[in-house]
Amino acid sequence: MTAATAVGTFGVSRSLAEDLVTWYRTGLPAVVERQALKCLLNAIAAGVGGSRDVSAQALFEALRDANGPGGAPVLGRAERLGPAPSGMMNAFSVTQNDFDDAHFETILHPGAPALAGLVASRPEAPGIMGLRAFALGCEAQLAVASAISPSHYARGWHTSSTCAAIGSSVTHGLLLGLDEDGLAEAMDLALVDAVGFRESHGTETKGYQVGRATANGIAAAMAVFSGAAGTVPSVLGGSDGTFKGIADPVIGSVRVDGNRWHLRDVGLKPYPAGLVCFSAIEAALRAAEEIDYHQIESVRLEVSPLACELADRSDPTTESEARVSLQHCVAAALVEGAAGPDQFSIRAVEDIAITRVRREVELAPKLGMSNQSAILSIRTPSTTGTWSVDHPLGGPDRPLDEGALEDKLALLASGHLLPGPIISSVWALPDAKDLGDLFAAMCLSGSGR
Amino acid sequence: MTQLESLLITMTLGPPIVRIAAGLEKIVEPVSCCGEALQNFRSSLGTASPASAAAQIAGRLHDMPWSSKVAQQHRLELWVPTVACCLATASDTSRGIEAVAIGLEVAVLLSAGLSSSIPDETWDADGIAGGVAAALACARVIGLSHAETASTLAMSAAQAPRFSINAGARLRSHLIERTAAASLEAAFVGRSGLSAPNAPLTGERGLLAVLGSGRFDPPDEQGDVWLSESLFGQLFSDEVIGTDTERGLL
Repeated sequence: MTAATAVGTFGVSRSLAEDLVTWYRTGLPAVVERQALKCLLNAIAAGVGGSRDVSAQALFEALRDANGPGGAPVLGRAERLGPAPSGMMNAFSVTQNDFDDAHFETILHPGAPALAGLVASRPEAPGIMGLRAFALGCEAQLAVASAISPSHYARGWHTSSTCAAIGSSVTHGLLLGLDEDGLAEAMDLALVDAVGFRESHGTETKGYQVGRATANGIAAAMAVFSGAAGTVPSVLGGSDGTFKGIADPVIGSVRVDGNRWHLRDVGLKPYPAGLVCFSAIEAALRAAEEIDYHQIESVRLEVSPLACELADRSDPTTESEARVSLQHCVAAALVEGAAGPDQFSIRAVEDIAITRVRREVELAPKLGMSNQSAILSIRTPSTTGTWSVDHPLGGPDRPLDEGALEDKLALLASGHLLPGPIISSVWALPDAKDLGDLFAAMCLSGSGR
Repeated sequence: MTQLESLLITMTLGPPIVRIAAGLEKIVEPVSCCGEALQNFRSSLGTASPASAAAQIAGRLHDMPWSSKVAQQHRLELWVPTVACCLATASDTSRGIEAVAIGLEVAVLLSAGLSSSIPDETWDADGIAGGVAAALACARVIGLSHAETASTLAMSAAQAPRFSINAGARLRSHLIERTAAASLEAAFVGRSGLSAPNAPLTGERGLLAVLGSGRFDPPDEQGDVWLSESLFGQLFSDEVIGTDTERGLL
């Protein structure tokens, strides 16, 4: 018997659910709990910022028109939607601006679905249980993503969408009180519809498909809780299961057994861009301190082949495209010496100076190079300089600290929500009697301007 | 945008789909009967949101007293979401019926093409096609522009992949409800102007390539006949659905 058949025989969802329920009941290691708090604050920051985007406003109106109002909070807004639509909305907001989080190994962004699953829950749960459910929603996604990577992504699937259904069903299902069997069924039911392709990259459909999968997960947990779905066959890695259709056979088990916490390897983004652009941005920011962009004659950027495949966009026309354009990331950082939201606005996309430099950027894929590395070479009339980055800020080796995260939230909430109540309610979550303060702080109603 | 996406977005009730009028006449009349009964049910839903109404109509259609043989033969996943979405949103009967007819044709065309491209032991071609078709039909009902319909197609394609599973009646009903609501949402989101890929079905990493071989082999008769006529002609006859509908919904 091969390892792959062993996984199928025992059923991935059931064994995974056993682990998750056990950790939920007994508690997480302190270091994991702390990382979960940071991930939570980061996801809220990204969501509050993303909720102000024109596309988020458009999606909200569409969901409200289709579904009517509900009782679940929506990040950055006073209005509420039903649990599943609110999950779609919140996951979209967190994801849309590419300012959330990133697991380099699997190219997964686990925070959005887990946060959405949390926010769709009733606020009466103790803060520590909410935090555990969030952390385990992330970890479940990471465990599955690690098992199906890299073949899943290579086949054209958007791993963050596929796994979003798992993350939201786990977080929401745990908070609903599902046991091992129920949680396994919720994951399987959520995954009956496998959502999201890489064809959508560079468009707002990418955020939509993450939102759809998240909504499926929340709805699945609710359906299992209420008994509305009946018996759910194994989908996630069963004998006729998902892995056979969407990834190579899984080697080894898919567990959250405490031997390795993938959550600790999740980077929190310092820039609103695709994760394979981080090192290039950092190299360009360093170069901008030393050279005058007016003097640039040519720019050569060596990155991994995957980075080229994902982010070779020499002439982006939208904000979404700019965020996954290595050429734009480098040019904007060189010209403006910064890489914040303003450098990925339509103003920056259309900026004459940035456009000129962008067209000078030549990409050079280098076999064997890490997705975290970049080598930037710039020629001017007087010299040629090279800047190398192997472990970018925001990656697992150089994580953002708490202060930087608070600054990120303050930037993204500025003029919209008060950052103080959000920050204090997140850090206080392990001791909070319920989730009410947190939910109130991240929405307009309750905290206000 | 490729030929397939264009065809699905712009499908009309006239040429180039030959013999459309004759086929449509056979389909629309029974659908109209069905629609009248379901519209009464729709009214009984009161203030339900469009998505909730679509889900409830889909659930009721699924749960109607079909014999299992009829349900199997008539492929509920293929057509119920389309009918449910249209009835949940149509205020103009003729536009609703036209949208149903086009949705059914899209569903049959897509399912047939998918079946030649994706492994059926893994994927449920009817479930996938039914969801996309329902979204496009709904787009027709709510009067979306070409660009908005293209966006709807992208949203519905991204959420369409449905695993082939051995589902009991309750789960099957739940999934059909879920598909109807999600398809309706895709159309509403398509109207919102979110940007979308040009080739969600036929792109290098679009639905056809990711789920299967990337090929799409339309039925030989496509363009010459109204494909759904043979499949749904019997289904929408009074003997099969008209009486059952009235029994189940009125």
